Parts: sequence; structure tokens; C-alpha cells
Amino acid sequence: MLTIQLIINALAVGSIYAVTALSFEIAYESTGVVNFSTGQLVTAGALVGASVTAIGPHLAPVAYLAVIVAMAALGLLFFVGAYLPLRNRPVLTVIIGTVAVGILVQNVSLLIWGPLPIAVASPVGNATIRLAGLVVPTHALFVILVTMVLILAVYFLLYRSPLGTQFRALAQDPETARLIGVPVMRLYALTWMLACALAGIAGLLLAPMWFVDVGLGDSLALKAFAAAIIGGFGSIPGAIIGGIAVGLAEVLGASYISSSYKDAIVFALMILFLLFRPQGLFGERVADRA
Amino acid sequence: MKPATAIAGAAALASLGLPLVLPQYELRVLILALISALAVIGLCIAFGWCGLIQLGQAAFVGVGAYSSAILSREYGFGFAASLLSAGAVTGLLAVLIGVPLLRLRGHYLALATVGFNATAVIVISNAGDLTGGYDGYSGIPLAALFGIVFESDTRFFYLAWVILAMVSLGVVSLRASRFGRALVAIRDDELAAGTSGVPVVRMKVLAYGLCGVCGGLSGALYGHYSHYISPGDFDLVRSITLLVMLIVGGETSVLGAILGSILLSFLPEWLRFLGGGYLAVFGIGVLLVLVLMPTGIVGIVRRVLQRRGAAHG
Amino acid sequence: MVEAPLLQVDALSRRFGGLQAVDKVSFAVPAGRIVALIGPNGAGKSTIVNLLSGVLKPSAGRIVLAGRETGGLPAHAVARLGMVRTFQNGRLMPRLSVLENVLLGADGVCGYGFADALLRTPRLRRQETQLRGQAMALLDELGLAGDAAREVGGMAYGKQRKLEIARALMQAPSLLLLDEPAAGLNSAEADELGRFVMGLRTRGLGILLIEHNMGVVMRLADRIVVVNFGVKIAEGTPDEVRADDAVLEAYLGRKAAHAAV
Repeated sequence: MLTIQLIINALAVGSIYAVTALSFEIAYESTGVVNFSTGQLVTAGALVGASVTAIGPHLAPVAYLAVIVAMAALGLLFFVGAYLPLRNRPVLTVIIGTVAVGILVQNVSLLIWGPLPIAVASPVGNATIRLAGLVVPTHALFVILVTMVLILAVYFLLYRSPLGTQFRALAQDPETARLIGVPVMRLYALTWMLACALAGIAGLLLAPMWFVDVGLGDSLALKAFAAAIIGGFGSIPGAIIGGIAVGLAEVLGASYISSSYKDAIVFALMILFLLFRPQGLFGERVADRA
Repeated sequence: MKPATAIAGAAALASLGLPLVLPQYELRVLILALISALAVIGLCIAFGWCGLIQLGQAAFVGVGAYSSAILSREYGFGFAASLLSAGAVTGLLAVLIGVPLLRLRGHYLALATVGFNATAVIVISNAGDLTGGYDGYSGIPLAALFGIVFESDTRFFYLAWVILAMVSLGVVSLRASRFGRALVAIRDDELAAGTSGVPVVRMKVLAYGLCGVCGGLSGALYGHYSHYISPGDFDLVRSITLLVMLIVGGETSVLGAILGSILLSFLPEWLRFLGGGYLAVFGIGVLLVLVLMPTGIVGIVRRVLQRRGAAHG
Repeated sequence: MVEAPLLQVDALSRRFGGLQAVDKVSFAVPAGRIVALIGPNGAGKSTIVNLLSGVLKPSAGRIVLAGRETGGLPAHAVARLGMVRTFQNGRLMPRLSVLENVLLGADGVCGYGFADALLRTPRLRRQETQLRGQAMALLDELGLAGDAAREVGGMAYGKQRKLEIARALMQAPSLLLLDEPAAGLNSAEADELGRFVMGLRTRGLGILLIEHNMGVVMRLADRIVVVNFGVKIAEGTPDEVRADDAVLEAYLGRKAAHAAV
């Protein structure tokens, strides 16, 4: 019984990792950039949502819309201010560039929202449901549900829409995509808007489970990296499975192995995957894609 | 002697007078900058020369700091012995994790080193019996050598200066040897380096090991200077700061590593008037440096000198 | 008893997934001889050079250099045993000076260790001075002495090709694998290169020449090995190969009329 309850919690946390990993993965697939500011984008989303819900708890559903719009705008800024000037630079320059964006976003957030933790209400309240002797927080179920909706939306966008075909052409080979008339720059811009919006929603989903402060997303992003590696770098389904796997490893590891080392377990798992199965569960073969 | 070398040498000698003129607080910042520079020189070897993306340098600094602290407080090691042991232990650890990790490239290596740094901080935080855990480790003894106790900032400045100078000279002469050529060649073209007779894998592990040694020395010195260390001193943010120091200074040059460390250590002081906005400005500053001066300070100075040389010649 | 050739390649094979890129190719390169390896694009020439130089591992077959099996060794070990290659597209190190690019080739012959390098010992200085002398002599021989201190970037293409040969020679090879050394050179440069390669031959080096320029091949080669679809289809002197129907059909085709003059 307890185990099933733990697994539901793990699924909820894992879903949030999965959405974060999805943000990270979409940016990587399309632009080749490993976005080290993902965590701070998650935080920014949570804070925007916190401000909207603070006006009135009934606005909680509106918060999701507000976060999508605000984060997409931020994504556009990211595209213009960091991606465009740095896109042809060496890997590490781009990585440090995204780190710089993270520092910027985090500290602007600090200036706007201050250092104090903020409590955020869930659109479904903080009730629990009793199901066959299990006590499950409604928000956990809500998180799982929203994640499923997001995954479906991303799936239709990428695999069932004309835009998706262009997007995948771009991910395969930007040069050829350009030649066959894909509006490459516009797609890059759209990628960053989508990635930022997803990160923001991950933050808002997380917000009612933890208090929100400017450090909220920092450790979350590391877990999302681990999720992406475990699921398979460069694979969208891998990001989702990886996220759930990390959630499970963490919650089960904390209960059965050691709660103080639960994060270390996740990172150790990530490093083991990098060494022995670098393509992850579903990912691309690690050729020389650096 | 090349003009750049002459200027650098003169500046280094002139800096020996700094403790006489600098206020105490600024002197402390400068000492911490020299200590950071040791770790940044390690990054210069691993990343600047050899192209190994190392986002876990702060973990190496931490391993050095804790080994030297524990050896000197618990086991009565003298300063010299604890410093050298810290360098050796960290170098050895770097080699041990380098052998498997350095098979990875690019983003994969970046993420693996991030994972290593995060894991190291968790382990240090939770191994309370050995490291003092989250509370940190205090009571690290003063540095002492040949009967001189480095208890004042002025004395410690000279200690750090001499150690940094020795490491810098060693690393500069390394660059002028077959090892330096081989490491730079690996970043330029790994395949062609191999067919030119360079044992690529061994050289990468060597570069990572040296990066560890430099990090370890930096950490040991940091512990003996501040007498107190805690896991938060060695987190991922610190690793990134160390890399930014290298990039701002100029990633392939030892001089750049030192200049970058000094500049980035003083920057928070100079920008103090910005209050809470400082880090936001810092973020924009890093972006601007990456976009506008990818070769760092040293690259720009070199270009200016070349242009002048061309004008005179 | 006939002396064993410098390089003996036996039934060398390599598969990539379902593709048999090189299939049981055998040939030999004696010391002091130039053997040309020719074949149409995609015939497997580059794969053979990659297998010989340790960039790729053979799936089967033997590569024996001066009595030592080198197949499967890492690239640097192959180079240090004396089989040294150049690249089709001239892979030089842009962040090293021209002189340093040549000195890089001395990595395997430097006798000093890490401690010497860190402390700049007299031993290191002595050896480095001597190596510099050797490298300068090589650059001089190739007409690059004036460029020693400059960076590689922006150097004329012909000079870059020569610099790569200098780097290879710095490794004191017994066998040189030249992968299309004349590609991109004008005819005067190609002639000059040809004379230089003939000079190496008289010094006793074995040379395996992969080349598209048939004029160069016919003039320089003592023997020619022809491959197509990963299989050796002919071998012989230039005259024999020129007269070989299989080669004319499979490879030279219409081009033979222009090249075989």
C-alpha cells in the first residue's frame, strides 16, 4: 500500500522532471544547445504563476495561460539576446552563455520577487483523495494529468502537424532544411519560446508542492539533465521516460537506500549511463555529435 | 624577450609591493584571487589547451581543501606536507575519474562533470564524521614554512604569490615542451594528433590530472587561509565562476588565467554600488564578454601588441 | 631467400554494418619503392589508409610493418612504429605555429620526460634545440623556412600540404602513406612535390601513394595496386596496369585516353 502511494508521488515528481527535460530536449534537438539556464527558467515560471495566483486563488487556472505567454516572450528574448549572437561558437562558449542567461534570469527574479519563499495554491486545491485506503494529494494527480496533456500536445505538434515536419527536418540537418525552404530562423525562435514555456509550466506545477523562491529550479534542472541522459540525449520520448525514471529512483532510493544520498543516487545513475549506455534508453548513438 | 613577457614579468614584480599600499580588505580579495588563479590555471591546461570541458573544477578544489584540512588537523601534517598531499590526492582522483569520463566528448563530458560536482558536494555534505557535513570544517591550522608562520595577510600574500609563481612558471614551460604541443594539438584535431604520434588518451588523462593537481593546491591553500571550509564553497556555481575567470582572461594563457581571476574577484567589489542588481549585471557582462571578446583580455592585448609591432616593423 | 617487404598487407578486410568496404586486399610495399593505390571514388582507398594508420580497426586480415603486426594498434602506436600518414584535406593544427606543427611530429622521438618539461632541465633544452634544428632543416628543404614562426591559418594551400609532409617526416618514418598529396595543387606545385617524393624514395623510405592525378601516379609509382568496390582488381607496373583490360574497363574507362599518355 505504502509503496503504491510512494509510486504515485514519484510519478508526480517524475512528471515535473519529464516536462523540464522536455524543455531541455526540444531546445537541444532543434538548436544543438544544451540549455544550462533551464532551472532558472523553471523558477521564473513558478514566480510569474505565484504572482497571478496571489491576486486570488480562483485565478490559479489563468496562471497557466499567463505563464505560457510570459515565458514565450522570455524565450524570444533568449533567442535574440543569447542564441543569435552565440550560435556558431564552440560548445563551451554556448554552455557558459546559457549559464549567464540563467544568472541574469535568477537575479532579475530576485530583484522583482525578493528572496522570501512564496506559497502557491494549486488549481485543484490542497485536498487529498482516499482511494482504496491510499491517501493521494489531488495536486499530484493534477500534475500527472497536465503532464499527459502536455506530452500529447507536444506529440501532435512535432509528429502530426506541418510545423512538426519542418521542425524535424531542422533537427536532422539545418543546412538541408534551409535549402528545402524551411524558415529556419523563425523555427529557432519558436523553439526557444516553446522550451521556455515548458520550463515555466514545470515550475508552476512544482510550485504548490514546494515553496517558491529564486533557487527553486536549480536542483530541478540537474535532475532534468540526468533524466535526459538516462532517457537518451536527443530523444523526446526518452526525456519523458527518463523523467519518470529519475522520479522513481529518487523517491524509492530515499525510502529504501538513503534519503540524504537520494540526489547522489540520481547523479551516479546518470554517470553510469553516460559511461556504459551513453545513448540512454532511447537516444541517438553517441557518434561525434559534440 | 617578447614585449608581452617583459610586461607581465614587470607587473608580477611590481605586484610584490601591493601589500604595502592596499587596504586590508582589498589585500584579502587579492589573496583569494591568487588562490583561485591556481585552480583556473588547471582549467587552462584541461580546457584551454586540451579542450576538455570541465564543469567540476570546484569539486577538485573542495577535495584538495578537505584533504589538506583533515590531514593537517587530524593527522598533524605540516603545511608543506598537507599542501603537496592535497595536490597529489586530487590529481590521483582526477586521473581515476578521468580514465572512464574522458571517453566522453562535448555536451556529454560537460554533463558528466556537472554530475560529478553535484555528487561530490552531496558526499562532502553527508560524510559528517569526516568532513563536518553541512556545518563545515573549522580549525584548519595556520600555514607555516621554515619556521615562518603566515598569520598576517601580508605574509600570506607572499606565500600565495610564490606558490602561484612557481606553478605558473612550471605550466608555461610545460606549454613550450612536447606535452604542451601535444595537448594543444588534441584540441585542434584529435585524429591528426594521434596519427602524428601523440598518445591522445594518455595525454587527455594527463591534462585532467594536472587540472586536478592545480585545483587541489588551490583548495589546500584556501583552507589554510580561511581556516574554515564548507560544502557550499565548492558547488557548481563556483565551478562556473572559475571557468568564467578563464574565459575572461583568455582561455589558452596562464597569464590570462591569473588576470581573469583577479578581475573577477574584484568585480563584485567595484560593482558594489549596484546592490542586489550586481549579479544581473554580471550575467549581462559575461554574455557581452562571450560575444564581443572571445579570446579574452590576453587575446585583445596580444592583438594590440601585434598591430603595434607591425606598425613599427 | 627474398627479403620480406617493409609493409606486408594480407587479406585486409573491413565491414561497416552490412557494407564490406574492404574485402581481402593484399599487397606489399618494399623499402625504397613507391607503390600507388588507385581506384575510383568510393573504391575503399581511404578506408585502407585509415586501417593502415590505425584510425580504423580491421575486421580481419594482417598488417605487418617490418616484421611487426600493427593491425588494431592505436594510431599513435602505429605512427611511432614508423608508418606515418598525411591526410587528403591536410589536417594541421591552427593554434600551433608552423614550427610547432613540425615539432609535434617529434612527440614519439623526444626522450625527455614530464619532470624535464616542468622544470626546463638542460636535458630538455639540449633536445629541444636539436629537434628545432631538425625541424628547421626540414622546413628549409620544403621551402618553408621563412614561415616557421607564423601561424598556420591563412597559409597558402600548397604550403600547407608541404607542411603536413614535414610533420610526417619529423616522425622519422620508414613508411609514408601519402593520401592524395597533389590534390588542389597546380601542375608546377605537383611537379615539385613529385621530385620531392622521388627524393624520399632514394633515401630508402617506402611510400604508399594514394592519388587521383594519373600523371603523377604513372610518373612516380614503381608498382600500382588497383582497387574497386573494396576488392583488389589488378596489380603491376604502370605499364602492366595501363594495359590491363580489367582496369581499363572498371576504372580508367574513358579517362584512360587522357591520362595514359
